[in-house]
Amino acid sequence: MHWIDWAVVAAYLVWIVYDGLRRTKGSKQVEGYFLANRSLPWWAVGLSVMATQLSAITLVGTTGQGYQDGLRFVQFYFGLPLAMLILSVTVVPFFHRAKVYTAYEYLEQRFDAKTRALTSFLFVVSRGLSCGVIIAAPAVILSIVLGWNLTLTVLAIGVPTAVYTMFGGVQAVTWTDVKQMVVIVAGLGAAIVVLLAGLPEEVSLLGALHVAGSTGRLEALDFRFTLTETYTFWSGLIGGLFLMLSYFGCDQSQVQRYLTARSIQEGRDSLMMSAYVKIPLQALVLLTGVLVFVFFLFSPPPMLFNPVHEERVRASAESAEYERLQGRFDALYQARREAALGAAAARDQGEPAFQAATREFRERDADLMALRRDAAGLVARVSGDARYNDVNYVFPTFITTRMPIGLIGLMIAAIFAAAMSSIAAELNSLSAATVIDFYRRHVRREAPDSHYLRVSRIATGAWGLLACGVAVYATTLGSLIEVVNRFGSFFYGSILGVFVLAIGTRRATGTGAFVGLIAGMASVAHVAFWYPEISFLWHNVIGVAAVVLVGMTISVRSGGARRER
Amino acid sequence: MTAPENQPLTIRATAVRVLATEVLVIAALWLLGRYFSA
Repeated sequence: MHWIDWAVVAAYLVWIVYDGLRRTKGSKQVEGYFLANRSLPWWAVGLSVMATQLSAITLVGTTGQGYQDGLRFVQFYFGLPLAMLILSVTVVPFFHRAKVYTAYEYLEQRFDAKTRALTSFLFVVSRGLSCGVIIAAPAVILSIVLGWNLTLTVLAIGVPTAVYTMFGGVQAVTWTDVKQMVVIVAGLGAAIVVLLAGLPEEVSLLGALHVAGSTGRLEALDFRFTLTETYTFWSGLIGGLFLMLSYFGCDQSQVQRYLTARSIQEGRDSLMMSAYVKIPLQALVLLTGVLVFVFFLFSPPPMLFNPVHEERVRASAESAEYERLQGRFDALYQARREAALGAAAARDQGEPAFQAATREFRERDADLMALRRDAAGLVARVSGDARYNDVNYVFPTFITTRMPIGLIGLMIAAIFAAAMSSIAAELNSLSAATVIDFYRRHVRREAPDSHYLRVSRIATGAWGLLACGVAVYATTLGSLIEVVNRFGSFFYGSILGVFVLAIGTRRATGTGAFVGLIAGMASVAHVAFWYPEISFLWHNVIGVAAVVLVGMTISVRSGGARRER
Repeated sequence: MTAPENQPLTIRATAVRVLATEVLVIAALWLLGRYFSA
């Protein structure tokens, strides 16, 4: 990497850490540290909500998905606007009026201590692990693409984030999130400009999009109702609705964002920002991936995007076979390039000519993709990694090999920003759950505010260290990432079910909610193991249904708790 | 700040705006696919 790019990344890191640390003076009490004294404007909270959701793996993985599959993944977010509306009229006023620090604290007000402890414990365990994964995933990719030391990359992402979050608290998290969102959007904008400028002179943007469209990559919607297809209109709208309700309504890393808002109305407005902007933003990220596909139609791509695996195959006994595939790939690329140029030009030559040209292009593209699959199979044989997939390396490869000096640094800073904004919110919320739900509730109930503030800072630092440790460990154990994701999906819907019982019913009892939560998690685990073909988005619906059904049955049978909300 | 008695109306108006925006965005995505896939 050129020294100018290094300087851009270093300047970004110094700026963010400085900006975070100068918020320390506004965090002299626990309420200031965790809730910013409920004083933040809606637009800052709204940007923080979006920055927390958009992790580095979202930025890099989503563009990769756009490259591979097109816009289809956008359907995942179709339930989000509806979820935001529902949360605006339910949990936002409930949490604000209850004056809680954590979402789980409300469950003790409504049910009992054990329900609060179990939900908070599930949050702490899953988020503690996933925080490590959020650091590990971009660190692995950046270290491979740029040849950086992996442990140092993990520390470069994790340590600055832990430092400013530890001292600056939620104010540091929110105000750095605002700046990080600006860096992310600026980076994406720069990438789109470079992609468009990289098209050959004879190919217009419309022509390029028609070529991409002929492969189906611009078809975002799939209206089939099937439980086995991961991303359809219905799984996104219904399964996605429940997932987003759970994520934004019951996950402390998001709840804590809007608890910092000045008022109920500003809390609502902060969620409305995502309701309006999230789907178009994700469509733009995916479209960037489609444009990377278009770019590599006219500029030779590597056969495989993960250079470490490629080197390993070249050094193995299969190197001759790899060379043979590379030779064929180069020839097929040229053929596809010609066909793509022909298809882009045929747009003005009438419908039959355009149809024939796009058919020719699709055939050449299918040949090239088949060869890429052969090469990936070869890597899988040599590396022993049966699920080898280089889709997450597509966008970083484009950044590091095709973007101009200076903008490479900006894009790397954007990936750092995406990772750090998510990690900071998680560290702060993990600390809040640890101190408020466990330490202050079960270990030391009476102590001065300064004591809890000190413990909160120590907890944030400890979670940061643990996250870095998990990240280093996760990078050597690839399947851990999947285990963590799977573990999280077991109880996401179930926790939502507990909040539905808490806010939506008057008869539900603490025991009903507690047993319902366990039954919900067991139901989802059962479905996940015995019916793996069912898309994970539906797990959230199953979890909620099981908790509400079992929870209400037990509550009604035991007489119900006619408590007023 | 919105007066409490006006809040249901405000929320209803926001809901209509949010859902109308979503329908428009989904329609735009559908048209994008139809136009460029033809």
